[in-house]
Amino acid sequence: MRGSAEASILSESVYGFIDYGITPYALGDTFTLLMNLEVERLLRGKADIVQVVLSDPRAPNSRLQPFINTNNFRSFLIELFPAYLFSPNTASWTFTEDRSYFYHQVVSRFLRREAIWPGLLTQARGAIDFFSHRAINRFFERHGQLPRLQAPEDLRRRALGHIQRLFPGKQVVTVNLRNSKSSYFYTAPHREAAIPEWEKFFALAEKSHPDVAFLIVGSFNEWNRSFLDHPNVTVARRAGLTLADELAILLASRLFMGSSSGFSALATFSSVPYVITNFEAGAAKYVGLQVGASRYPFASEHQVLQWGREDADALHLQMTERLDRLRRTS
Amino acid sequence: MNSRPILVVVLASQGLGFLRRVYRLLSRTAPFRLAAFAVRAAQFELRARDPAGEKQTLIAECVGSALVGPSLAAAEGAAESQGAERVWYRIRVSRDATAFGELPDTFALLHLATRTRGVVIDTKAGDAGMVPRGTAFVHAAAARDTVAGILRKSPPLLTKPVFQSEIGPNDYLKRVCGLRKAVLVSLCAGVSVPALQRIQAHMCAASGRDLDELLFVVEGGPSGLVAGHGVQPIEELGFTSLERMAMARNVDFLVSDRWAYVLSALSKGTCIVIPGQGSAAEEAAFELVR
Repeated sequence: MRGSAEASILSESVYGFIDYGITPYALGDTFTLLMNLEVERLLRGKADIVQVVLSDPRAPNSRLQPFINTNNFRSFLIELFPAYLFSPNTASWTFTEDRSYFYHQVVSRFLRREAIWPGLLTQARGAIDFFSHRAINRFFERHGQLPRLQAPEDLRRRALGHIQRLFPGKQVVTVNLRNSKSSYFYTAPHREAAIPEWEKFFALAEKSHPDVAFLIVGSFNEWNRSFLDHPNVTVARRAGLTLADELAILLASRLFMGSSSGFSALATFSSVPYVITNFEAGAAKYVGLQVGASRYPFASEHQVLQWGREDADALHLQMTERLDRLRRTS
Repeated sequence: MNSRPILVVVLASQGLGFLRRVYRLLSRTAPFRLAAFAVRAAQFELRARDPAGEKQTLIAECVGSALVGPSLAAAEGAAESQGAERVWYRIRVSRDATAFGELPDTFALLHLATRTRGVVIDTKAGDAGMVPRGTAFVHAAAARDTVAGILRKSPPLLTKPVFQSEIGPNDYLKRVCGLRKAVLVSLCAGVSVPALQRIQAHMCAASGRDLDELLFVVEGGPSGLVAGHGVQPIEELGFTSLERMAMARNVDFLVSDRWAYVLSALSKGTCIVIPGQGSAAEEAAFELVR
């Protein structure tokens, strides 16, 4: 009896199975994965999403992240956890360290012919496409719209409160600069932000836009002390804000500017206006773009991409243009 | 036919490492991994049906993440007394509720507990299918008195390895404390200047030390409000939620009404002072738990 009642309830869901032995503990990949699940839900005509996440202590990392091991994987999972809360249609999350349980769920849901993502064969091959925009772009091409990632109501309210408290009367521009030199997982140096150019940009903006406040989001090792010299710049982590707050503030801000990295993925799949900088030519094929394209296929007119290294004047021009257009349209 | 011995010789001459790589390559292909899936799933099914196995797992169910602290204490206590090796936690919380915003801290806390094997967060009723079958439920929204009793008797051991998270707080305390005793102040309602002054006076009396022999680290809320009153706002140190809990383990005294911190601190035997319930920061009467 319980089984049949259970099945009728569960069949309303699409089941997402995430194995950290295959996917990396990374903010951007998590958002792309969540969007793939949101799209899968619509394609399968399901009401909501149930996610089952495995981090097996005996094999906790993918080959992309050799610095993650049995002793530290929980720290990475805990730090990443708030990102999962931004999938608006997820009704249930299960985080487990038990591989048998995870496999049992995959196989039993498959045998019950329920909607699972990724499919059983893909899961078995370990070749999961958690990073590309293929399915997302395809869905947009067919339907002309996309679901958007959103902050839960409580985090949204808290974000508005933080903005009012920290920046009364200001337009808030959230900024994330990829700057992993001081972390122990320094990779892909070509993706790092050009910090001196950003600092010049902050100085320019201070004169031209005294009503704009910049909020730097990202982990503690990502910001330079020299940012504190700019009166129009605030570092979120110094104000006691955690990743959950930062993500919610990003979605509530006037504009997001920053590196093509974790935070920009949330902006990409939201309706917040953005300028994503230093977009990597090598990533173009994974997101279905021509190198040099100014927008994702599903982006609004206030959401733009900038290719190549940052330049203070170009950043300033982009910000001015975006804010002016936003003012006109609102 | 002739090629077989040669192939064997070649493989053997490459050594065990090479053979292991070949096996790994094969095991990544779908049939091998599918077989592994099926075997693991069958093992799980058998274990779930095994009556002896039922005692191994407890499910602690709590409604709203704010109750997770007491639930964790109750579940760990129950697991200890019943000899359960694993505990699953199921949290039911509405997406619109204030408790939803507390989930990151809750999640961190649950992952520190010794027996945690799974955490289920449900935003709708009736989805109990995602927790393992054949296990005992503990409805762990216990009264605070009961939990306090459990804490006194056998505090839960939050001993999962979090080495990386211990480094920052430990290093900070070693560098700045010297001969001073460290006091972490973390209150749900945040800390005001009058409350801080009362806490400082109380801690001097309780520890028998002068104010300049204590270092107050203040956490939560707009702790910048009390900056300049001889305290260190933890926000300026940039610690993550996990590092803040690790800080609670490593200070000499904790003044807190937040269960996550209290449980974390208890696991290392830190002296805990909890302000009376209800009036939080403004409350002058403290209960010395340990």
